[in-house]
Amino acid sequence: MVPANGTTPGQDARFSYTQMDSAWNFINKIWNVSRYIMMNLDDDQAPAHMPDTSKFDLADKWIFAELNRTVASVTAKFDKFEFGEAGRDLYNFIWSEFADWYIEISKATLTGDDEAAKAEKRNNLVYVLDQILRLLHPIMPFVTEKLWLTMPHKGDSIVTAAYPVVHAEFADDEAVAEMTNVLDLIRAVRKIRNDVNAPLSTPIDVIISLNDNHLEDAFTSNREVLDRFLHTKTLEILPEGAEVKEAQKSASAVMAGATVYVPLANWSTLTRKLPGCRKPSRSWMVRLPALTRSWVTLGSLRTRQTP
Amino acid sequence: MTKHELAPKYDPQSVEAGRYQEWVDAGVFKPSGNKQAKPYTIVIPPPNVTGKLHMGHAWDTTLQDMIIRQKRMQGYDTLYLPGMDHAGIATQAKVEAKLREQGITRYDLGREKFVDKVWEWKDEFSKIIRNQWGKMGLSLDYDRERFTLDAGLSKAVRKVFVDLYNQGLIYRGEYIVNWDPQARTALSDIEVIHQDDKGAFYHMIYKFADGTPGGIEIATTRPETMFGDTAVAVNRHDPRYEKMIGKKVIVPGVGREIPIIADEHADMDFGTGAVKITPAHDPNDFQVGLRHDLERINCMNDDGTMNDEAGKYAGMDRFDCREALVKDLQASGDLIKIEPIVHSVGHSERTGVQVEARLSTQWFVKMKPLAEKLLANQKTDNKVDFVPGRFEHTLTNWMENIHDWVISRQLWWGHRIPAWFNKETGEMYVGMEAPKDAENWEQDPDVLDTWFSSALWPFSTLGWPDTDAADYKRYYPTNTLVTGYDIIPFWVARMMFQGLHFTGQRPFEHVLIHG
Repeated sequence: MVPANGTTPGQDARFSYTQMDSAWNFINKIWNVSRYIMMNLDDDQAPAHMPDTSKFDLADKWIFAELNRTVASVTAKFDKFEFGEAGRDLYNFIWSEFADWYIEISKATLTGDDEAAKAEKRNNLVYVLDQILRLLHPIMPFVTEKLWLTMPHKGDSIVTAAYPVVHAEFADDEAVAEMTNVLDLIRAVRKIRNDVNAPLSTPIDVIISLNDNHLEDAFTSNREVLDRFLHTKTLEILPEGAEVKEAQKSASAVMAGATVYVPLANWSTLTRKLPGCRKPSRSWMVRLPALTRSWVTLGSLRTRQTP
Repeated sequence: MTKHELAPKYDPQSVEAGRYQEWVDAGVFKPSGNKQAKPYTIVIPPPNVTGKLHMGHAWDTTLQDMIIRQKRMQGYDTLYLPGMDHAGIATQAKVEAKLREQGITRYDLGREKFVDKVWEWKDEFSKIIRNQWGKMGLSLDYDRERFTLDAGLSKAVRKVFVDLYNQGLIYRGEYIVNWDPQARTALSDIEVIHQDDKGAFYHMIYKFADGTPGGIEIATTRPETMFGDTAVAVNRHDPRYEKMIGKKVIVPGVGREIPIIADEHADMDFGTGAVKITPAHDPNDFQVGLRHDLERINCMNDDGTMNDEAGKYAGMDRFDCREALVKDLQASGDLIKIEPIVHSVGHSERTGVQVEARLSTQWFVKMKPLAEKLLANQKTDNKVDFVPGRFEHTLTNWMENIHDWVISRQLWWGHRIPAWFNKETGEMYVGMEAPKDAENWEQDPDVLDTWFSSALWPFSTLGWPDTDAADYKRYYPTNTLVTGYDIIPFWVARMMFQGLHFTGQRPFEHVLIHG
């Protein structure tokens, strides 16, 4: 009778190798993320310290706001003994936000020429990783101790390190909204690329037809990020109500506040894929419930290594 | 590797090697003792030393360790207290099985040597269990590790027994108990598992004693208990038997004359409507016997063989006697029909044998006042909070329908009952220690139900009965108990009423229940 359904306490649960695999994959992800960050630090990198929020770019503002939200949520759930739910929050934040986006977006700075920006970025990565490891420690004590002691840190052990708390200065609803729009656009375009079988290496034309003109700022302010992640040939933003001439001959995707079009004309290599031929993308929506249930199996992961 | 460099692959073995011992050596699992901080205590549900920990334990302790680690990081003065349970009947059964493999019984060794053997077993398995705790990374304070049979807890157990006895809440009396003839011990209701067994209704005629032709037909599933019959009961409204009430009939094969009495226990629609009454062998019959002042005749030995009341069948195993008796009664014409049935029969949870309802002298805890205190407390702000909430109902339901708790066990491994009997006069003495002239007294050979000591776990581990003990003052009451729903009646309820009764406080604030 093995652990797991954190979302329905009091129930007997069945042992599941799938759930174990999900948890295993998650630990590996955390390991790889930590390793990547550490590879990009100086030997004399200082331990985590409060960042200068005035130097934050959008991605920094966003991740720190999300860190705040995660700390609050996980703490509240632990108080109510809702460990499965807490686990899901952590998984969401660490994998879908920190790893998939913040680190990816950070790569530009880390490989760029702006040394000051690089230093800030490194500090931010160290700070967020440090907080993540502390949040995870009650759930995965051995791994988090190893990672925390390997990264720049202050203190003898994560066991007695201070638990993360919410910092008012990190709250930033505007940044979260703006970033959400940017990420939604990237996801929408990726979905279209997937539908028409256009790999990222192929530059494409993208037309954004706004339903909400407020989104325009988000897109124009973040052209650099968009250019990197969308790899567009051209990017056109049409205001609310404007006609989309190529609409009929385009692949499209809907997002909050806009519809995104990629015209297919002139692109013989682009064909609308039949449903069913779609290459399955890593679906974290499918993975999530499995991992949520397996969250408390991390206890059993502690015994997984028992010979 | 440079300072901040990780191996390319996550390897659990190397990540964990040596870490637990480092933590223990560094003392990071000890409570901070910081008086500015709030205490937070979790006592581990003490595992039975009967074997290794299983996934259920892993689940349970993982939850506890998550809570404690977080609280420690949040700056609480945290205590996660380890310990193990001597688990009376389960442990003794395991060791006896081991001995049986070598062809010896505990009687061959004698009590002292046998108990030594069990301590050896306990030492062997304690090490294994501690090792498993380490693999799971549990942040336990080993300096405070306890065992339900250690000196401190034994003292707490004696104090609880003596106090309850002096308050009239522990008593000794004749009672029908669930008897396990293999382990030769009484079992409480919750250790009896009912299963559907093949059996039969044996229909017999008990002839009228005054020579009137005919008799009364009864049906029984246990003919071997006939030797203890002291009445036949019918329902006073039953037209078939109204006129027979007061007449005497003869128990076939035994020859004893017994009266036909009227009692609501006889169900007009069940069987023949007439039932034999055997006060020493059935709990309902025992009550009927109380109502009608009937004699109690015990016809079996404690090992399930028949005693001298069974005449020529004395010494036979109960089931062999049944077979032989049935044959004889068929031959004599007293047994007129055998009706095969499938019926619910109680079996011992530990040894699996069919339980006998048996009259014996046992020690009991009077439950009503203790249950009432618990139920009243659940209506106050001081109540124990169950998560999920629906499990509180399991608890209150059990407490509202509670019977007195049989606490004596005919075992050698456990807390010896602190009662002595004067060798000459038979006078009984209950106290913390033997009377001064110990040589004139013989201690009650029985031990206490293992749950009796488990019920004291939250406060006895922290120093009670020494209410000035630093740990008791600082870390009691505890904060969260984590356990399975199956032991709410066995353990959670008992800790609650003993905690309230002896410390005036709930022993824990929250109970987190899992499957």
